[in-house]
Amino acid sequence: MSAARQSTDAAETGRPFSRRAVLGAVLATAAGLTAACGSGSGSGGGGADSFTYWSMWKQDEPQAKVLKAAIAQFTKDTGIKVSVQWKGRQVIQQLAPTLNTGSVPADLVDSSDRFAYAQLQATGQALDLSPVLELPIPGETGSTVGSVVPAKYHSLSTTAGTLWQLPYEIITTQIWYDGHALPDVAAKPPATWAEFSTLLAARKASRGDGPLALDADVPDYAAYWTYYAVLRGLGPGAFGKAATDKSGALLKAPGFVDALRHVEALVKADDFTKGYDGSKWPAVQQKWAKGKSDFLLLGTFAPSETSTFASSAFTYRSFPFPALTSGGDTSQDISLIGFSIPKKARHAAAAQKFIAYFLAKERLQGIATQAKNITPRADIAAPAELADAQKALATGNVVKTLDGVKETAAEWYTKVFLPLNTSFLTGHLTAQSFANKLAGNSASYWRTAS
Amino acid sequence: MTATDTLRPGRAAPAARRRTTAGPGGIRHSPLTARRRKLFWPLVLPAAAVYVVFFAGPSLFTLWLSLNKWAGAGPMTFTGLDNYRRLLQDPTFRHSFTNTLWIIFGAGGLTFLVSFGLTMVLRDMKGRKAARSILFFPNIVPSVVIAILWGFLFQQGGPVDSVTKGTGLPATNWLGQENLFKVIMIGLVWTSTGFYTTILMAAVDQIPPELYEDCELAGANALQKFRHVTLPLMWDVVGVCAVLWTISAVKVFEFIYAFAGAAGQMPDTGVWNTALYTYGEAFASGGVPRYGSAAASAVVMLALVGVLVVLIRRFMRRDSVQY
Repeated sequence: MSAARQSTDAAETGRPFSRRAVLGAVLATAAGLTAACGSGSGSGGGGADSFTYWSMWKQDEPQAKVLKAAIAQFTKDTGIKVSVQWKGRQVIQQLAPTLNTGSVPADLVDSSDRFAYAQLQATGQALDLSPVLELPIPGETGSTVGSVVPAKYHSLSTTAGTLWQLPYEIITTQIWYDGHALPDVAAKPPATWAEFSTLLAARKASRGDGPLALDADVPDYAAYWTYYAVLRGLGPGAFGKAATDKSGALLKAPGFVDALRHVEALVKADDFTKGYDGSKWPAVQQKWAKGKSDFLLLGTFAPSETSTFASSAFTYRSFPFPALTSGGDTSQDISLIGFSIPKKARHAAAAQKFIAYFLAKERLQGIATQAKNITPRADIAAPAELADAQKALATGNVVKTLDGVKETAAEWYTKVFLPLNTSFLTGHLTAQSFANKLAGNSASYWRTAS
Repeated sequence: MTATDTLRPGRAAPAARRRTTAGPGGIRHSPLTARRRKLFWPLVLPAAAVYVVFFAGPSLFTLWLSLNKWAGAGPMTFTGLDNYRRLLQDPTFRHSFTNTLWIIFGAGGLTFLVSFGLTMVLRDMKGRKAARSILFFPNIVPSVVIAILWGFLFQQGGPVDSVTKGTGLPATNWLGQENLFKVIMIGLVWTSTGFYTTILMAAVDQIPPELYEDCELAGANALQKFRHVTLPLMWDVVGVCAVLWTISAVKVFEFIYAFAGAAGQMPDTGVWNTALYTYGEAFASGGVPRYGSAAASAVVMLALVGVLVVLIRRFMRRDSVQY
């Protein structure tokens, strides 16, 4: 039937278009939209000699500058073109909706380990990077990825035999202080809880205020005090085990409560600086940098976050969270930032080559020198302000930060643990009442969790 | 035929009746009506397609998603009403829902009370246009900016804390866990009052001044004038404002997130409303995303808005006063 005839028919019957015409138009519209969506999701990476990289950094960040330089050199050396998009911290969340499609737009992505786990590994969308460990490091005779990235790091991003992330930056938590203002501490940092308590008492008497800095409005920052106390008291994995205890009993076991009592003692003694429980981040850490308090328990990002507020004489030093008793646990928690490759990446081989290329000392050391962070390579010296932290990592045992509960029991951590923990750290709950409530709420949570 | 007639086919009938053609079914149509009908689908279809693709489709998908377990990637598992069951059992959701109701009724009630008060005061005030602009100002500034400012105002050692201490009032930890939500409510009232005062004042401006002159001659005080003249004559506008507030209150997100959240983290669950809960379930808790649960929460929000808007319309319905 011709279009003219169809139109005449429609006019004659009093209907502008026949059902068939309307259906045709709807299908055409749908097809057009589908085509538009399809064409918009292309990788843009080109052929096998190219790949697309979505980065967690914004392009003016120091890490991005280091990566940019490495990408330029990589293309020059290998002829492989890299299409890079500086997406920012939500990169994995932006990638997630595409992972079920046939054309995943990124061949390489970097992020914090917990996001890579949640969005790639836990959903079965992460490519196993184990073969990358065998790749040689370009320009370094005899070195492979597996030999320069210690197993103690990449084993933390291995689940059921799948290596879902290869780290290029390590973050750990330390107690930071000004080595210039506290030379005695720099000469002999407190190694045990008793020494730490003595030091806190002396500093409190000296300054008339609690020497500990904490922005308690950031729930994670308060959580680190509790986590470290449990880690030191009960050893690696105990916190994670208690978190996933369906009965909640482990959370109020005597050992757990004893560990909590160490933190309770700090709160009761007013060892935290005034206003820590009613300030807006980053007020307290900025005041710490200005010398208003002495010690700050925070990740290795502390110097870069506070340096603009510190005096020129401020010397960043740090020591590990003290062992509760002499010879007790001294593990360092770590979280990783690194590369992952989606399972459906079309140019995975080229992306893998880049990972090996970037992990060469010549390229990776920019993360230490320019981005002021610790790399997984022991032969790359950390910046001076992170030297103590790197030493602790090199000499001690490392554990996944918070025993990995932000990956494996994130909902419990957010809904059950954090609100009670903030109440505990701000003095509204005793160690025993915190433990009891935590145990009760956990048991209720696990009964309904799916 | 006028443009108005074109929009109202019923009015075209007498004219059309004079020039009719017989269709095959015996129904007679004017050439104009036939041409107009011919254009109906071509004109409606693009808008309908956009509506279906960008609104109805995603809404239906959200409804479908709420019946499934899905991490945003990988397989989707149909779980029926399980997500809704979990919401009811989740103390965090129940608390978030209660907070949402507090915002709608508590912050809303206070907002309207202050707006009515300002309306009464501003009606007779000199320079009321300037005052209205100043009151509207918080509505222009992005609420994220206000939220951040609000945090620094209320923190310990901040201006509010200093004034409180300076005047000898008992020290209050405004940003403490126990007071945070109250401060959020105050902030929401502060940012919203100007908007609703402006709308209500525009309605008040339409009321004939002689009615107020009559009141004055009768010796009515300000409250009586408001009760017997202002409120009845702006009742319809109040109804529209109540609907607008309900819809916006359920969706309050950025103020709470920016004010109580920090260092890229979600705020304490004690201040979550259903919008934050939805966001937290889908994106922000750091673990495996729970899109099904987030969608269920969004559906509950939609249902809440629907129920409240119907109730408000029913409660506010009355014959409008002609003047």
